[in-house]
Amino acid sequence: MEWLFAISALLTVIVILGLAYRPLGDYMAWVYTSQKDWRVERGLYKVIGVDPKSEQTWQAYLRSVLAFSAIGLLLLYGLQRLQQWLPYSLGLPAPSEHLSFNTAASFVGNTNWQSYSPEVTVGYTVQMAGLAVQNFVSAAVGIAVAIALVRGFAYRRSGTIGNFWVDLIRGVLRLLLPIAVLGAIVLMIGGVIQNFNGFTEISTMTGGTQTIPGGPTASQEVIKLLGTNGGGFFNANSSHPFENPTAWTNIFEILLMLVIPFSLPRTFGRMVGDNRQGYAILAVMGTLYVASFSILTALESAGMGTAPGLAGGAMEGKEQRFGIIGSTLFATTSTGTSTGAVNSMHDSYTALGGMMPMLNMMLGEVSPGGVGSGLYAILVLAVIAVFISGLLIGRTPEYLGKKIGPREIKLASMYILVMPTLVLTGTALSFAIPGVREEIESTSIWNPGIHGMSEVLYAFTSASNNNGSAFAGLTANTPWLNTALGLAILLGRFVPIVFVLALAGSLAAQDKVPATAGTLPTHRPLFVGLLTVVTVLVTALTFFPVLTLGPLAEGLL
Amino acid sequence: MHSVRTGFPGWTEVLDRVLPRAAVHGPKWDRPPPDGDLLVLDIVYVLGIIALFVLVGVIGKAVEKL
Repeated sequence: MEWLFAISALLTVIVILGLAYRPLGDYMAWVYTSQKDWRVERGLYKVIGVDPKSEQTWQAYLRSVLAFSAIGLLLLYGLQRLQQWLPYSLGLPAPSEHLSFNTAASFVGNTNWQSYSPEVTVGYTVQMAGLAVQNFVSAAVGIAVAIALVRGFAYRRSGTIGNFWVDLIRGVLRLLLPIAVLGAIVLMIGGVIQNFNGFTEISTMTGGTQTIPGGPTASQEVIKLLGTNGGGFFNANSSHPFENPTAWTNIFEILLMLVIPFSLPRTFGRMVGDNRQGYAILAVMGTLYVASFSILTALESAGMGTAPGLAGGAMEGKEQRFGIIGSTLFATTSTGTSTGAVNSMHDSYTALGGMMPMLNMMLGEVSPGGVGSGLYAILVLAVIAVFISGLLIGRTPEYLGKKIGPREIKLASMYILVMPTLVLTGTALSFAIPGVREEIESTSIWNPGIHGMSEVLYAFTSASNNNGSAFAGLTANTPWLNTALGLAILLGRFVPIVFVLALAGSLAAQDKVPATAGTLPTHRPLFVGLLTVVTVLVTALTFFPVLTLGPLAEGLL
Repeated sequence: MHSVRTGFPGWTEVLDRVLPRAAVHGPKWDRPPPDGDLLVLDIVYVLGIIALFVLVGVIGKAVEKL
């Protein structure tokens, strides 16, 4: 019965995403290739002094991304530190310096790691003018970078890869805002709250009092999911009934997370002039997603141990409204994209089950990945796969008519190395520096032993991959973790973007070479299999040793 | 066999009453508001943010030479 439910839930998601794939993918391709600017867009270009017809080199594109993000980060930091003087702040004090830094880095980096309880830390002005704004623009930045890389494949002998400001503004105005408005209305129909009520104290039936938080939740909830951001309006995130009230809103929220990442391969195929290439990328993303969901569901449903056996599955930390399937589908989606929202507590999953969300992130978030970041990550892996296939079977290393030479391979390799370096270094330093280790052990880790190590590993995996979910048994609101995780978020976001844009520039400058008998077809099942294996192998070789110290040890002992 | 739990006498009145509702306000918190003594930490974080983005820009410059 459980498996029937699992299959039907998965099929529902697949069918709806399948229906959205072509129209949304084609629409996004139009958004980023249209020659016409809307009036409101022209007004914005005039205000910021941008010529929308002028394209940028990859270096100029990168400078724009960095400048825009740095200014956004400083503004968000300042907004939090000035909270006590802002209107609609509910009388809340300013968060501490290290927490403000972590939160600002987290939202600008499309991560939304939250070391704080939102409802008692940030007021409505910071939520709406700071966090929600970054939810939109950080998502638009990710899509813009992916589109720039796609242009690299599509352009011939070009010194430019598009205009960042045009991509950013179109992404927000034409793509994210319209879907967000519609999605917020649907969520409100489903029972998600949208008000400015602050905290309401009520008397309970037993004569006690209870404080009920209110707030403009639906408007933030929708972009939290659509932009694969993940930061909840409430501490309990999508397990809170005001954020995710029912089983059908749960499915709707899962769809919101997946709809753009799973439609972007169509945009890619459309822009490079071969839709079959989009289907190949989609097949890899889909295979990894379905495999991950199946394994996680099997592990959580198996009910190993006395209490899970009696409950019919591992129910600790799971909402009764969603059950195991509603939780594992959400967890797979949230960690396979770079969302990080949770409707169940990953820390409470079985040892091996808890490893699956971690693995989804360690894959580099390509199943299907965050908005934009998933597509550019898998295209970088495709470059690696093409190169490996060239070595294995003597094919010419080229992808979509672009030669994969030493420069492209160096850029792709360095991209791959950034995330594991941040994850492993951050985790190691947390235990290697004596003072830090004492703080971690005495303050942060609530589950000593192997699981405590997994909690720290999960935190750095989540931050470096810009996911934002947590093994919530870890208290992260400490100077070390706030600062170290904030740095991991920023470096994990922007250093890979450097390599992606450089790769885009390198590819755009090339002419296309005609396919020959020696060219590996990249739209066939062989390439889909090869890319899937390369993705998994890169992860396995990098992270297997540390996983044996954490969840593998805990699960097998 | 247990009987069905019916609640206490007068429970319907309790359910139907209008619950007292306080004015919009913030929650009670234990932490005192910051006293502003740590402006130096703000400066450290702001400068650190700027330095980090400059560093990423430098990486971008270095990548040109690959």
